[in-house]
Amino acid sequence: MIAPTLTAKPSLAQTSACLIAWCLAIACSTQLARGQVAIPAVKLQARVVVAGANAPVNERDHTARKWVRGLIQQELNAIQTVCKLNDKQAKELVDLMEAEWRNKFASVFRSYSEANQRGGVDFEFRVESAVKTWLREVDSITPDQQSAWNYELDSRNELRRRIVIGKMVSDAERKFGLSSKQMKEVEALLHERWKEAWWVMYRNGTTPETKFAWISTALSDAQRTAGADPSGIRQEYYTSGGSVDLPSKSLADRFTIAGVTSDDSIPLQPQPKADAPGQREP
Amino acid sequence: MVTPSFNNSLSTKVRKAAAIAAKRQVLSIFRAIRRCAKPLCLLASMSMGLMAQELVIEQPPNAQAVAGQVVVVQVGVAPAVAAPAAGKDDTNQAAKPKSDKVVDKIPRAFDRNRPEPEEEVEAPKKNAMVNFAMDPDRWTDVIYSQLGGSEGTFDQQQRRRVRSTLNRIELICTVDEQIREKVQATAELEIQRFKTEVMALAAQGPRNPTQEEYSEFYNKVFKLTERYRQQNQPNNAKKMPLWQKVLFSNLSQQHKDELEKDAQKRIEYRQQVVRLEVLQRISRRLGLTSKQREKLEPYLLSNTEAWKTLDQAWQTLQQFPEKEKKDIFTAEQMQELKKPLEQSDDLQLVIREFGDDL
Repeated sequence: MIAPTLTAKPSLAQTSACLIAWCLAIACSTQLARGQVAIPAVKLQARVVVAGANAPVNERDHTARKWVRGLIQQELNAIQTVCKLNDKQAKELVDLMEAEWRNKFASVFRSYSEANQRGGVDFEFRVESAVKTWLREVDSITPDQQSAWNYELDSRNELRRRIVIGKMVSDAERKFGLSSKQMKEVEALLHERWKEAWWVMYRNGTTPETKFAWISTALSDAQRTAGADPSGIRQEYYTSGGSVDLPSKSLADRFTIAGVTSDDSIPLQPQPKADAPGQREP
Repeated sequence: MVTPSFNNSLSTKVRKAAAIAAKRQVLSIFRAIRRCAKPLCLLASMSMGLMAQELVIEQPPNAQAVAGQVVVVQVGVAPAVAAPAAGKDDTNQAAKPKSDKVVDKIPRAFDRNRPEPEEEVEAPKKNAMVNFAMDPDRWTDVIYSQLGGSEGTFDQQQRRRVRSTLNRIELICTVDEQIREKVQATAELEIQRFKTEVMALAAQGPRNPTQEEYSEFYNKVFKLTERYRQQNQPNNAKKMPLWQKVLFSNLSQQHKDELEKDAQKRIEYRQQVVRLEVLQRISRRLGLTSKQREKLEPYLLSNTEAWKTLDQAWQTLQQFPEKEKKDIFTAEQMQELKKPLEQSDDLQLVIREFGDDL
């Protein structure tokens, strides 16, 4: 039974399911040979399916999956608004996303479920990159649509740049005692030195440091002599919880764009079972 | 029998010469001893001081180390167990004062291990918060820690703040050297006054506070530090530090207006950054496009208070008139807007900065 399946190069999930079933069959046959009670086949089957389909391992994992799906759905909505996809393009894109999203974000789910806090997992950036890749992979999407979407991404990056540099300028204003005119000058200097990593740093809760050398040309002699104030009146504390700016989407709902949903043949993420350890009710 | 005999006069001379030589020898030895007497005495005293725990030194009360005189010092070894075990039982307690008394007799200039004056150590109460005494130094540290650092950082912070403010003002209007010095002197006085208040309060601090005593005293600490914190709050003209009042009283009205204008611009810049951040979070939550964000930006300026936090902004958007919502958002986004914001259990870093808005 197993030999033909292996020669036909099955997927990893199928192979692992077969191996587990084989091991269980051997164990059951051994137990039956000893005259013991057999484990109900239905229960066994359910466990095998959940394990083989990259199911949520705990509540944090489940939350991360919902956030990723929510963000993908929003990207789809935005793509439709900006690129105006036709039905064929929409169908191809939504099917591709539905089929690949679990594997594409496996490391994100793992990182988030293993970490104690959100720091270090940038959902937004990962979803944006993945959607950009998927758009490139759909051949029917025209270059004009691609460039329209790239313009949209650039616009988002511009907003992020304004925020992070604004925060850095506010920080420098306190540290060096800048005037409003100097703030504008410092802002221009920081724009020249912009790094994408600053946004990631900021998303993780740290305002990048404004180095004295970067902005010294905008300072007066007295300010240069005084240098930076390392001990500003600043209070830092951690608080548990807060409003989340990430949208969430149920694992049972299919991706939709312009009224086109993903194909029914693509299996959805199985919902976590109540009886399974470390999982919760959907 | 004839025996050889010496001349009497010669033998007498030899004997006399030998006696004289012996006398001279003895005198030279005494002179040498006299020369070494003072250093020897010093050495003896110093070594005695070092061994004070183990040695009992008895010295005549009137004895003084005068140059050229030999001081008699009687040295005896005290029982070795007396000093370390002192205070453990009655016998040893009786032995201890004797030792102290003797050590006191050592000239203070030579005593390197002078005993510290004994403090009256208050026994910790049964319900004390800590098992060590909270002396004024510890309380001082507690008070300064409420202001975000130590006494040293407080000093540094205050002086830097004055300097930084003056530097900033000089970019807009001229501050002559006389005013600058006056302001700095006032600030220095204020720092010293605050430090004196801290010291006075720390001296009142309970040594072994119970929870209630600690709370009561902490309220006093809070009052003192809060007054200081309020002075540093922006737009708090009533509780402005004295040095700022002195500075402003020496500026012309035109300069004051210019400074006020500049301060407003800086405040506006900071607030605009906060609003943009909130807009970005709303954009992520609803999946806004660049055009939709452009449409929302005027609202950020018209009602600045509503865009200070994500929660406030979300509620504001929910309360938007339907017509305006339809102009800005898609049908999906309007549906999304009806949902409440989710709350996360993740730890979030909150940073509060107290700006100086001069």
